[in-house]
Parts: sequence; structure tokens; C-alpha cells
Amino acid sequence: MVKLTSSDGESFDVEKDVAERSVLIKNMIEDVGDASTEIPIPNVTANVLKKVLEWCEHHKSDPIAANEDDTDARKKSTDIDEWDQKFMQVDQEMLFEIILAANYLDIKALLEVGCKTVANMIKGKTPEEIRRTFNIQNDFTPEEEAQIRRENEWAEDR
Amino acid sequence: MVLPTFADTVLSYTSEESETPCDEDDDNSAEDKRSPRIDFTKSLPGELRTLVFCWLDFRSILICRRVCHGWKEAAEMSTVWRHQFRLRRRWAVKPETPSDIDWRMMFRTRYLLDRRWEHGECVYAYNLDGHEESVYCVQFDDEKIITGSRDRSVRVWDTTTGKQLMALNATSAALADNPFTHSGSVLCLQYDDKMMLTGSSDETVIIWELPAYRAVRQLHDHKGGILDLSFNDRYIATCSKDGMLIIRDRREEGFPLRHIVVACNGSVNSVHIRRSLIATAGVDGVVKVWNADTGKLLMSLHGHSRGLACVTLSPDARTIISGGNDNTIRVWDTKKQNCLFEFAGHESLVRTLHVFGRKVLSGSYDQTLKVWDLDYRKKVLDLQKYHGNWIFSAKMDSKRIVSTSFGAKPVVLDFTRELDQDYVRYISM
Repeated sequence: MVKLTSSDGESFDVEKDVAERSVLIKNMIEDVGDASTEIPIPNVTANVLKKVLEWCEHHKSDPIAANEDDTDARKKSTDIDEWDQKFMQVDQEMLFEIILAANYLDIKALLEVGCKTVANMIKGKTPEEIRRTFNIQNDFTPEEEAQIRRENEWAEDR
Repeated sequence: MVLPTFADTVLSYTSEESETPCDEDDDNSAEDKRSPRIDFTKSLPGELRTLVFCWLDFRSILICRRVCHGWKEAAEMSTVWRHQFRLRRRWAVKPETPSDIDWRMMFRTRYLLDRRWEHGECVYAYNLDGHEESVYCVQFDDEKIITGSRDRSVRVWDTTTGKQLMALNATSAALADNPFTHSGSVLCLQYDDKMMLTGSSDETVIIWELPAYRAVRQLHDHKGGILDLSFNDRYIATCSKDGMLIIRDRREEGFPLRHIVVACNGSVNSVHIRRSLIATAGVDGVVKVWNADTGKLLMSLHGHSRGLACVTLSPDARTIISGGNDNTIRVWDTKKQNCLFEFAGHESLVRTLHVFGRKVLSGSYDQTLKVWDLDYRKKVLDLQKYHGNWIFSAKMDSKRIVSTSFGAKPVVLDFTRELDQDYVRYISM
């Protein structure tokens, strides 16, 4: 077991192989040489860390993906497996916190699921629907809008 | 914040963009709602924003440009478009492409080029004017086109302007120092950075040093016209009316003879080497595959009903494509040693074949050029109007088709005209 401490001081006792889904934590444990010490996670709050660890627990026996720029993996579709989809049914604030935490903790697969989830919130939508989804003000003038439309014309199907 | 970001390892950045320009920070004010909606382009650092865009198709990214100023900027990131470019399996840029090139423009240019091929929109067709008789063979790259003709000359042309740069024949000034010239039709040629070989009905092969275009040697190996030749960095293979396939070693001084084999009871019309496989095609209608190292026959592929005119191997040497007098093109698997499928459509002898990527260009005595796709197993382009006579030779790359026919003027079909040449020049595939 390892003990992780969130930025707001809450401690979590976690199995080593669960915690080691995070490359950051894995490296720390290797550096320390002893898993009994407490590991501070200064950039992640307790509620987010709890959520991230829930994901790590579920995925603890997944094969670790090769960490290099794996272009083939990046070519895969934005399909997300069912458990991960449910896991990602959180409010946007939590979703973005999870993405930030996954990036900081260096959990490639979780970061990927997070980014895919956001991408799926964009796909197939009109600009106005995207604005509504993310609470964005349209700050273009009608002239600018027309100009950008023209600039996009090259990609239109003929 | 100074964090080790995993995103950095996925997307090695070429520019700085971690701050969003718009700063009307009402993210926090939304917190009191039950499920706040947050503009992630503001709440996520630039590299994570880019990672999100990496999971979008390019049309969705273009939609994102229309959302607001901040999103427009995010959707125009060069890294986003570099990723989109790399997702395209068949696209590639040259090694010298600057890393800070505008990948959005690169993607757009490459995309538009694809559309032109899909629609057969050849914006610009022109002739190479200079040969006095039929042109039998051609090879080209972005800088030059080289042709060989019945007028016994080899000519070098500027690919972009179509202007003749050089004529290599018995009377040309360029050849003043050259002891070797062809006294018959130039039937075949191939060049790379260092060397060019030309084969002739005068039964000889001339070896030229490039880029000087100096003829350094004449080979008298065959007892008949040289119908085709092919070399790679290891071997030189020539074939002839005399029925022989002759293999020389390119790596050794003087290109010593390695193997002389009877490849056909009659003319061997075509030869092609890839890696250590050599394919030959002859009047007996059989495609033969040889081991270049040993000179041994590896397989004979039967299926064509009449004599063959042309054969070529795919870059990975897994696939052989052959064509001839039965008007069909057959695609063979070199591992399984069988015919995978046929391309039917030509109405006369298939005279020339060339593979580029996963595409096959064919030219026929039916006066048409056709482009076929090895993966989709179908014809993707049919060019009928550019030749009014038998087609002898044709080559393609991602930008052009150059073809020759019975008649003195080769045809260049340029698919890149009016595209932004600052980006076209870096396209390799």
C-alpha cells in the first residue's frame, strides 16, 4: 500500500499497482525506494484524486500502453468503453479537473478518455450548439463570420 | 504552473500558445449553477486544448473556428493540423520540410491536391516539345523529366516549365566529351541521384554519371535490343529480345556480371527489381520472379492468356502487377504466389505500368491512361483525352503524370497548378 495526500490534506491508502497507473507516482516510488512513505500530490484536490483513483482501481490490470508517440493509437476512433463513459458522466468542472490531474499525474489512458469525452461533446455540432454546450459568447461580427465561412469553403464536399 | 505535462511528450510543440487571448473570466461566476458550463479552451492549458482537438476530424475543427475568437485561434494551431496531416496514412512530406511550416496550409494544400486526383481535374496539361520521333520511355521527379526516343536521343526537361534542358545524342554539345552514344532507339531508362542507365535497340546499355550526365560505360551484354532495365542500390537487371535476363552487381567496382539466365523463349519485354526480387514478363505470357542474389527462378505465375508487355513490383515487393496483350492487368501476391485480382477496363494491349504508393498507373494501346487503387481494388481515374495514339510509357507521383506515346511529344499532366507552391514543394506522397 502507498499513502497519497491530496493538496487539501486528505490521505488515501492505495494499492501500489493502482497508484502506479500514474507514471508520476510510479517514478516517485522508484526514487524513494520504499512504498511506505507518504506521497504528496500537491496539484490535485481530494475530490478529484478520489475520482482519479477510482478510475485507476478499475483499470489496474490494463496493459500499460507504450508511452512513446504512438501514432497508431492516436489514429483510433473516439469510441470510449462503457465503463469509462459512465465514469466520465460528471459535470464539466470535474471533467476538466480530471483531465488536468491525468496530465499532471501522467496517466496516459485517462487523459485520452478525458480528451475524447470533450471531443465527443464538440463533434457533429453547429457553432451555436458548441457555444451553448460550453457557455461561450459569440464575439464575431457578422462580417467576420462571413469571412470565416469563406475561409472554410475549401473543405466543403462537392 | 510548472508541471511535467504528459501532453508535451505527445505533441512536441513548435510554438507557444499556453495562454488564451480572451480574458473575460466568467468561469467562476458560473460555479453557482448546478452543472456549470465551462469553456475548456480557457480552463485547460494550451497543450491539453490541442490534445482535445486531436480527437476531432478536420471538418469539426473547421466548425470550431466559427465559435469565437478564442476557439478560432485554438483551431488554427499548427500542431493541431500537423496531427491531422499525420492521420492521413497515404500523405507524407519531404524530409527537408521545415518543422515550423504552417501545417494548416500544408493540410489544406494536400487535401485540395487529393480532390483534384479524385475528380480527374488536371488543371494543366502540356507537351514536351523537342524529340523528333516517338518517345518510348520516361522518368521524372519534381525538378526534371528524362525521356528516351526513337530519335536515338535522351532528353532532360525542366519539370515545372517543360523546357528542354539538355539533349544527349551523337550531335549534341552536351555529349562532346562523351565517348558513348546510342545508335538505335532509346527504349528504356532509369536514373537515381548518382546514375542513369539507358537501353537501346542498338543492343547496348549506356551507364551515365549523374548529375553530370557523363556517359562512362557501354555494356554489350545482350544479343538483341534492350527492351527494359531496372536497378536498385544493389543490382542492375537488364532484359532483351534475346530472351536473357542479365544481373550485374552495382555495389562493386566495374559492376561485375553476376547472373545470366534465360528468362523466356522469346523477347523479355519488361523487368523490375525491388529489394532482392526481380520480376520479368515476356512474350510467353508468364510472369517470372527471380532471386537477385542467386539468379534462381523463384516462381512462375500463370494466368495471362497472351504475351506480356509490362511488369512491376510494389515498393514492399509483396505485390506484382502485370499487363499485356490480353488487355488485363493482373495483381499477384509474391508470398502466396497467386493472382489476387484483375483490373479490367483497357480495350487493347496494356503497354506500361507504374506503382506509386498504393496506386497503379497503366497506359495502353487503347490510348487511355488509367489509375487503379490496390487497396480499394478498383479504377479511380480514367484519362481518355490526352493521347491520340498508342501509349508507350507513363509514370506518376502525387503531383503529376508524365506519359509518352506514338508521336514525338510526351504529355505532362500537372495536378498542382494554382495550388500554393510554397506547400506543394514539400509534398512527397
